[in-house]
Amino acid sequence: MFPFAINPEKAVEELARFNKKLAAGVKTFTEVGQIESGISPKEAVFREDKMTLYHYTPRVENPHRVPVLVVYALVNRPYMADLQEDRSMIRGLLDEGIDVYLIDWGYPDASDRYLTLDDYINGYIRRCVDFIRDRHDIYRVNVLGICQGGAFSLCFSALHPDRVRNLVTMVTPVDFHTPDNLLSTWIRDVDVDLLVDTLGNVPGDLLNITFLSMNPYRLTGQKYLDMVDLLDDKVKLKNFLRMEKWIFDSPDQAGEAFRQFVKDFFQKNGLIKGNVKIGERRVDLGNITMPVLNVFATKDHLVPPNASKALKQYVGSSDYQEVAFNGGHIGVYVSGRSQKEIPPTIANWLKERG
Amino acid sequence: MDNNPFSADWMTGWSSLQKKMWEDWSDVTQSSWTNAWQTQSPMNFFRDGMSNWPNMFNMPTQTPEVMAMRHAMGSMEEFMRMGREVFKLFQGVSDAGNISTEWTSQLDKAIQQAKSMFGQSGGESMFGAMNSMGKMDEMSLFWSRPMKAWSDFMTTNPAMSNDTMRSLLAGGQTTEEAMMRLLSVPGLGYSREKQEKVQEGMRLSLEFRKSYEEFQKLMAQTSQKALDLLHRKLLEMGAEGKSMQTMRDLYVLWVDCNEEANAATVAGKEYNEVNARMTNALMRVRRNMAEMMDNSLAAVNMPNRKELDSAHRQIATLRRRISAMEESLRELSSKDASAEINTLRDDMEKLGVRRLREELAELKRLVEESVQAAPVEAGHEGTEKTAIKKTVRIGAAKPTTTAQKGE
Repeated sequence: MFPFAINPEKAVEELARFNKKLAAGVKTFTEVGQIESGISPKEAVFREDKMTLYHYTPRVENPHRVPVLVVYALVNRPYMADLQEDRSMIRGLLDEGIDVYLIDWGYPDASDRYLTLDDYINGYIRRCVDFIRDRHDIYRVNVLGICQGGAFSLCFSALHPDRVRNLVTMVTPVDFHTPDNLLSTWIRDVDVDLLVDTLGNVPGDLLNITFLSMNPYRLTGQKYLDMVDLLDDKVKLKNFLRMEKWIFDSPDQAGEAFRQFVKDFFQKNGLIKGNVKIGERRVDLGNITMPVLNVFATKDHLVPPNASKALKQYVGSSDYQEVAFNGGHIGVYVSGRSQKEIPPTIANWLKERG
Repeated sequence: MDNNPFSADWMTGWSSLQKKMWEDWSDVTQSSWTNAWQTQSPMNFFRDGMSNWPNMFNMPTQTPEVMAMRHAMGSMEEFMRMGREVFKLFQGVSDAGNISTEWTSQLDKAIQQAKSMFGQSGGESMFGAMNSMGKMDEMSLFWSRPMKAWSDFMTTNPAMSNDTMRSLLAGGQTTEEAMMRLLSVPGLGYSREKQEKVQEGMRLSLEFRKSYEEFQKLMAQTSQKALDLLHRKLLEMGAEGKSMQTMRDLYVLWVDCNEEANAATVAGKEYNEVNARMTNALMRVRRNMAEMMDNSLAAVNMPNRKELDSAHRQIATLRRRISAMEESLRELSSKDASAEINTLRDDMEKLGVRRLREELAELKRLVEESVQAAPVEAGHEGTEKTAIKKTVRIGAAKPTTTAQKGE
């Protein structure tokens, strides 16, 4: 049987319908207004160079006494965790009574090309933690690391266990050499020294095209065709555009930090081998003795579940817990289900541990 | 309508006008398509019409809405191209006369034709792929999106692009011959080093082009595999008596096939090697170009990349030193001095300094009183003794006070 039940007239009608939707969409586009980034009220409480530490306005009268510091990745922007009112992990935590701080790394330029992982971890993160400790008159804070920020948080917690009360890692790569880790295999044979020496800072677009190469036809084609179906709904279109803004809002990567991260973490898998040195000190995951909550996504194509779950074998903590979220790398922050599952789980886990 | 070209009112009015124009045009063309069906592909109307759309969004800004609309336009164009190809297929089947028996051979033919476009890539010449990239018609570009994405990236990214990069990607046999000739000339005289640098650059360019060709070839093979997959799935559908109801169904199936083929390729060792070789080769070219540019700038006493890097390295060092100093200062200023004072007080207490002070004060008082009471009256003796006894009681631990001695 001929597998096309599409006659020419039907096809023309379909395309004309589609075309009309697109035409109607022009009006919707002019009506969506500005695409905001990050929706929860916050205050900049500490700045250093291009880094800003934000404190979110608590949404309960007496928030939990130990605040949590969210450490986001250098790749993309942290407002993914606070994308829109009904899709915000930050808001979820605030609603659960958690006091939340977040590090925004800003947009590195050529003058940041020599920032190292030592600057990021023993410098910026440590000073943010110390700022919060002073501000709240406490010895230790809770740290929540996301993706690459999770790897940074692991390093920080291993190097400064006296400053971290509880550690939460979300979609965090630990074992970078699991067979299903595409990013890791792609970068394995790339001469990173040559790349950084040539480009200085690594362009965000280079990372974007790398991510898009994983699903090029869906992410650069089908997605936009599907978008046409949203064009008659201002709210849905705005949500789509918000996500779109985030996807392509990719800061350049400070050259030296990128070099070290790729070589030591991706190529040498040094985090689990104990070969990563931040500043003058070696990172030993066994020093992580505080309680650890490890959240991973079962359908994560960027950080495969096994890459995250490896943490269990290496941390020194006797209080280690895993949460498997049934979704992808982005869905863990923004899907409808994650809003109901993730923030309450994290908040309760933190509260139980004081 | 507000005449201010930047007001929201004007934008809304303008877009309404555009929308109406487009709808009218759409209606007119739609009615003509069915008549034109037997003579030409109706999809041409769509394709030609589509070319108007990007102009509407040809704004200098890169806001998410403009970018998304541009992407949507691109996808729409792809969709239209697919429509045209499918219509060609329909036309072929229709011409063959017997749909029930001829469709599989027509489908074979269409798939083979599409596959042959990729077979041309990476042909005999080292630059075959590059040449064919330039000559690729819209259909083959449509089938080879990842290659196009790379090509676009490398020619438009600020970190990569310049005229030389464009010529690298678009070069042909003539450029190759010229390069080979230049490379064969030995460096000579005062500018020998410069000549060698240029020759090195050309050699690196050739290496890059070769690696890019390898990459393109691999992706072309992937596209062929995707077409095979599409072919197989369509035949399976036919065999199972299933059929696609809309163009969109076909588009989604095509995307699925391409994603499946792409996933298999990018997970393979060959892709890693080819991709890394291409990236490394590109970086070598770029570095060579940057070095030549640095030398040229230095020759005319202009700041160059090397100097900027040096300055930035110093900035980073200074930042670290400033941070360390600021921390030390903060530590010093916020130190709790009261604890230190209390410790000192404790030490003083242990040394009995307070007691000594009290005794001293008492003595002073006694001396003053004794001075005041110099002409002692008989009735006052008792009072003085009482005072002396009191003093003794205070300094009981150390019975060596002046008062005692005096007593």
